Amino acid sequence: MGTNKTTLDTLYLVKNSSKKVEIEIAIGDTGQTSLLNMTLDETKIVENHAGNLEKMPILENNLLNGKKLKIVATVTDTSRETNVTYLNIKISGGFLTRTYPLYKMVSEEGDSADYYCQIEFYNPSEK
Amino acid sequence: MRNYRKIFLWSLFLISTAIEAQETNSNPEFDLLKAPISPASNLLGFSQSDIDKPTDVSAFMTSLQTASNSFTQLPSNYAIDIAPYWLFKKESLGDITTKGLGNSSGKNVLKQSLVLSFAVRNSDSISGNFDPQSTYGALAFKLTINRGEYDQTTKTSLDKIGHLQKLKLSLMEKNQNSIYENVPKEIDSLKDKRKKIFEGFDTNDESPDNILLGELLTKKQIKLDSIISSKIEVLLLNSDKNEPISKIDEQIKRLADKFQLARIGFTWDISGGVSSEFRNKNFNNSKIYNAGVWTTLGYTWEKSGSLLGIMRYLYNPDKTITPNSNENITDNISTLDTGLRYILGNSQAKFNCSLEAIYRSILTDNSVDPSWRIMLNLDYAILKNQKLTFSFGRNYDGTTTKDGNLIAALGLVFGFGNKR
Repeated sequence: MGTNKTTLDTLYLVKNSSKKVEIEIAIGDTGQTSLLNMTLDETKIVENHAGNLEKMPILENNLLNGKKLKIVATVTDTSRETNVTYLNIKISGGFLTRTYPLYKMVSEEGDSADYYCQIEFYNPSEK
Repeated sequence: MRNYRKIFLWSLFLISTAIEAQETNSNPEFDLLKAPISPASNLLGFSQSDIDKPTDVSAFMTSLQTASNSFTQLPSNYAIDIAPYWLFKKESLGDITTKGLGNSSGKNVLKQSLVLSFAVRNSDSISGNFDPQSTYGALAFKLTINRGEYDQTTKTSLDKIGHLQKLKLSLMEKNQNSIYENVPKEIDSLKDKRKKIFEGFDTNDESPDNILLGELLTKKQIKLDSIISSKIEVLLLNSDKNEPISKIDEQIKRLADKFQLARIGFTWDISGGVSSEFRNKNFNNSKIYNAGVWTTLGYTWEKSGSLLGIMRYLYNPDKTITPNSNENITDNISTLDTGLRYILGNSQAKFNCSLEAIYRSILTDNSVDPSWRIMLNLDYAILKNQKLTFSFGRNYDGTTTKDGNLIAALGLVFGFGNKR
């Protein structure tokens, strides 16, 4: 642990609107090799995706309350330039646009950093 | 005597660095400063070669060269090359993982490959129209339109790593699910407390005041996020499901710590720039020395080296030339260079040897015979991201001689910022 941050458990506020909530993920650092899976409740929406995840819709705001988005990602240090790895998650379309920066400096060349995230969508107006 | 002592000291330096390089070989570390890129030193005629091999660039690179007086002077020619994309990393870099860097062409390749080059030349004799009383400065750029694709070794390693990562992700998902299915009461109550922060809050009210309130409540939530995330992390790390994950990590590490990113296939670069002569080394007394644009097309094979071709247009104002009448005249001349370079050495080698030949036609004056250059270049990676270069050959015809100028030059290139 220490200065590393590889686990995220958070709430994301949604509204009653039919506007779609979107997600994008930037992975690094330069020359690292990554793979990620993303699941909404029991449905896998992204599987074995390498590199950055371009902005993609998840679901409409009014359908998301109580659903949980799980992300698992592994970033292997294949760069000879740096041992830094990071995973920046950006979610927009809900009440606020939120960014969640996660990062880990691996100790040796070739090591991997594992990221676990759970984001629960929450609308306080709906119980 | 002083000269012998300096040669001896330089020899010691080279031997010690060679030994150090061999020692480094015992560790699985590589560097990828394959070829010095310095379009500005091309314009001033002191680059290691005129035909550069496209390569993934360093954020900051310097090259020093002195061929004169047995290294008794400080380097008289030097160049600095910067890659703005890598040097001034911005937030929106795009995909810079091995997946994104695998693209051969496109907008990101143009941004990532842009090199801005600055060079200074001080000449110690009248050669190639360089006046020893003047200092020459050049500013140039280089862009890669196509940088080639990963070689088979790189692709195979990435495929193997990807396959292992895929297995690992399914185990990580099982680990995550088992932790969240049995969350301790302590974490559950923290989660309830987190939700209570927003009790009575209306997310449908988009007034500025409500958004401000939402931001304040979110700040309060972030503190609890951090506590909950840390507790979940401890559970994930101590899970008995980590053992098979660690075994896969060991297999990935064996592949990843030897990984080197190398490219083969079709490559295409475009360069250009302008240089100035500062007469009597005076900043306020300058004129354009030359300006030009050139393009380099090439193909790199995995094992048998690279073949590169160049086409270059150069404009040289007030250039002293020797037409067939053998009387020197000064005129504005334009030249067209066409040439080939063959680089021996596989795409992941530390030592490179190349031979280049360039034919120079004078476009603006039929009375001047064409000229040519042939050059042997050797370079060796002495340390991580440092290259020792050696050039030997015949340069284009000089100002007053038609026999060509002999070039014998030793150079050092330092790359900073990365070792791609």
